[in-house]
Amino acid sequence: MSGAAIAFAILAGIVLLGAWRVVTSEQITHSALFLGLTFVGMAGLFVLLQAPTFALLHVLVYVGAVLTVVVFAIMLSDPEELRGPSPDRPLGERLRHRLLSPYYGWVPVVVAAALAVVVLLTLARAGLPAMPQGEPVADDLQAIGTEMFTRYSVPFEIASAALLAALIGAIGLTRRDAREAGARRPGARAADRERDRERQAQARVAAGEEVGR
Amino acid sequence: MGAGIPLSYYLVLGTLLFSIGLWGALTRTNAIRILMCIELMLNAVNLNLVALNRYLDPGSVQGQIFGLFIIAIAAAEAAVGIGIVLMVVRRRGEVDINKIRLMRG
Repeated sequence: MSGAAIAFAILAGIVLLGAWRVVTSEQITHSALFLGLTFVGMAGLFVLLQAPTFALLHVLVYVGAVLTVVVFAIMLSDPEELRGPSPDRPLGERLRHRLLSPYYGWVPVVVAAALAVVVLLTLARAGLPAMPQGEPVADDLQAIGTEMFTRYSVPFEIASAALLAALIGAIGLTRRDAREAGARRPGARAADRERDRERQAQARVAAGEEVGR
Repeated sequence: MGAGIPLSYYLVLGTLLFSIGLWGALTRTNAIRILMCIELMLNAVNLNLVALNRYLDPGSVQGQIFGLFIIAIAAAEAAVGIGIVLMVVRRRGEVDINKIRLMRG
């Protein structure tokens, strides 16, 4: 067994374990940390595929930006999730409940397994090469940069416009607007109900923080 | 380095990763966790693109460039998705997608 094969086995194990725990962790904070583990394992696989620039950008964007945003979102959202599993339901009952309910139990498992089986059967008869068909480019950073600003310059600009739109959209969505609750709504009663609901939510959040501490 | 591994291993790993992400996105009810599962699926696609680039067309970087565009769009998706989640949390105090019925009438 060569060094590359051992490295691949370890990284594949890290990636699959991380992905599994992202889905199955009881606490969502653990999910986020395992998501980071998966991202780092993926970067290792990219290095193994001799794409170090891609691995660098992957870590930069996913671990540096996306994971940070996810952790912030967890921090700012429902604190009930941070408290972990409810102690009154034992693990066996939770598992049984999870497997027997169709929407959250066996139907998604069947869908995902069917997808995997179809793809794996197709891969098995595809006749894929065992070895790379040649040497990789010598300087992948230079190659990516050149391609990005010559052949793919229009998609590059479109991607930057999409990122700008996402940035503005995210700011616009989360901005706290003083008139948000009432002024633009027809009918004051609906606005009152909305405000009450918001106040209750804030009270719940505050109570949750008390318990969490 | 990387030469002793058949291409199919990478593609099998990508398939399994995508399936786990799909399973999680379908079963979980927490909106933030669903976003994480979508990131997992996008990662699986990136792994496939880079592996196919390396094995089938190693003289170019086209697969990696496609992967970079996927990363950019994934970042935009995460920003907008989490913005929506935070807005809903502020207005309704809820991240469970089954209890968010704003558009159900």
